[in-house]
Amino acid sequence: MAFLLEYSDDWGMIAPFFQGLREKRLYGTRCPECEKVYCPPRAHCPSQGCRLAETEWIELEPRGVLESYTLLGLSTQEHLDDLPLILGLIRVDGCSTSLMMRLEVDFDDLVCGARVEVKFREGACRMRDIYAVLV
Amino acid sequence: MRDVALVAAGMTNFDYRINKRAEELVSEALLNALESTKGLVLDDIDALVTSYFIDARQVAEEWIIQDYLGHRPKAAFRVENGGGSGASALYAACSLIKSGLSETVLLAGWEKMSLYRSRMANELIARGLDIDFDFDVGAIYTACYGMMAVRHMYLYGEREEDFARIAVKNRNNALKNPKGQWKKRITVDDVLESRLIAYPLKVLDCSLISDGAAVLILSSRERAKEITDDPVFVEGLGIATDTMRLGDRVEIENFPACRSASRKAYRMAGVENPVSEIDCAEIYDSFDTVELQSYEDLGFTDKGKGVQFIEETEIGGRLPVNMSGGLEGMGHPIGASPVAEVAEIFWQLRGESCNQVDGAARGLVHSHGGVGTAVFVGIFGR
Repeated sequence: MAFLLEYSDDWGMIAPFFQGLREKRLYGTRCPECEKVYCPPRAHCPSQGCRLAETEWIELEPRGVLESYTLLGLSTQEHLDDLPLILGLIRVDGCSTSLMMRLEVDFDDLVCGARVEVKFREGACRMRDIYAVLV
Repeated sequence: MRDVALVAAGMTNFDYRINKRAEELVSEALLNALESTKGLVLDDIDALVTSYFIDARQVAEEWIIQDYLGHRPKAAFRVENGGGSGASALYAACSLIKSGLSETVLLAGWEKMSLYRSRMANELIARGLDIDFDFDVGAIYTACYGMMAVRHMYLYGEREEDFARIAVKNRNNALKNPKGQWKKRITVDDVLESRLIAYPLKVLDCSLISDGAAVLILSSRERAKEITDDPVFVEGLGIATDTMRLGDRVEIENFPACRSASRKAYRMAGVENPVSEIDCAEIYDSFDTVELQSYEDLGFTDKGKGVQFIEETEIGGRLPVNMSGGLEGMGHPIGASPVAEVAEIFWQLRGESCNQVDGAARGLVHSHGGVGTAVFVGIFGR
């Protein structure tokens, strides 16, 4: 019965992003046509006119801006022990999209627009294994 | 293209309906709808469009429904579009009639959420977030809407009390709705003191976990005369989409797709000034913050001015919203909710609502799925 709700990872063409986490490096993808940088990465650019151009990998500085945040009193099963949990949307410098990630901060110190730095846990390989702190 | 008429609507009570299976709930809603027609029978219906959201305990549940209603061998299919499934199913049903493929269509939406504890229901819904990104960090949908609200509060200065006023309005409206789930009068303090789910959203800022079914019967204008003396017409329809992940957007404090969908619907219906030309609206208040943001995106007021519009949405205001109680008060069996929103507008325009807006002649329905990832706006008139 134990196999019923187990799934394989499905990282496809964005596997380098997850491999990068293990090396404590943050990668995004850049469209060769419009030069937009995506993090979360996209293997193809969805912008009009770019015709799903295949993007290129670039390393990003693990710093950015806090776009918004929330304090969770409820989460999914795997994360219940981590409550209360603070999540934020981080626009990594140079990117046109934001990553949702955990924040290890005092909730009362948060304000939209704050500068943050991304940190990596040992052996990180999933989004849950990285977090941001205020700088 | 042909005009589409709504000729009948029906729904079950929304609640924890543990003594009825999904197909039994749909049958109850359908029998409720047929009561008001001039003897319409199931044989007169040539297509069935269905809507439910959670594929967990049973998948392909629409096959149970079509079988149970004895609909075979006629055309039937399910439309899935997250929380907006029922609204997208309406869009498909209207397309069938407009194109001439069908003459009379049954639209049925349902959900049985009591099969899951509320914590598990949240988890199953959260699987509609990107599994490898937002879901993986522990987000549930409430977290995404909380972040949208925090950004809106940062830009425009709303307080938690402002959102709570909407929850109070909708839940207290539900007290007049005999089919509604919420049965207790509440105050702003009750909302503020309720348990935190995702700041600034507390339990009473959120919609309910419900079982229920709702149906609509649609036909061409010509066929409508044989079914009812009091049809309601579909005047405008718009669906617009946005990114799946909230973080992939430039604007996270409002719903750009709602602006697009509403302008499409307004153009089709010839609406230039929604506040003066629309008499009542049902807005998809999965969270009370969504209702406030949607006042702005639907063009009821300017961006950042949603708070000042709340008082206009009471019964007796310039544009009453969620007379039924909405998803916070009437209930939120996902696949049925947008169908029930349209049913409420159908009854309003026929003067049959339990919370009637005097002289309502034109109504709006707003619904969406995801974090405003697929937004529907419909305009209905006499």
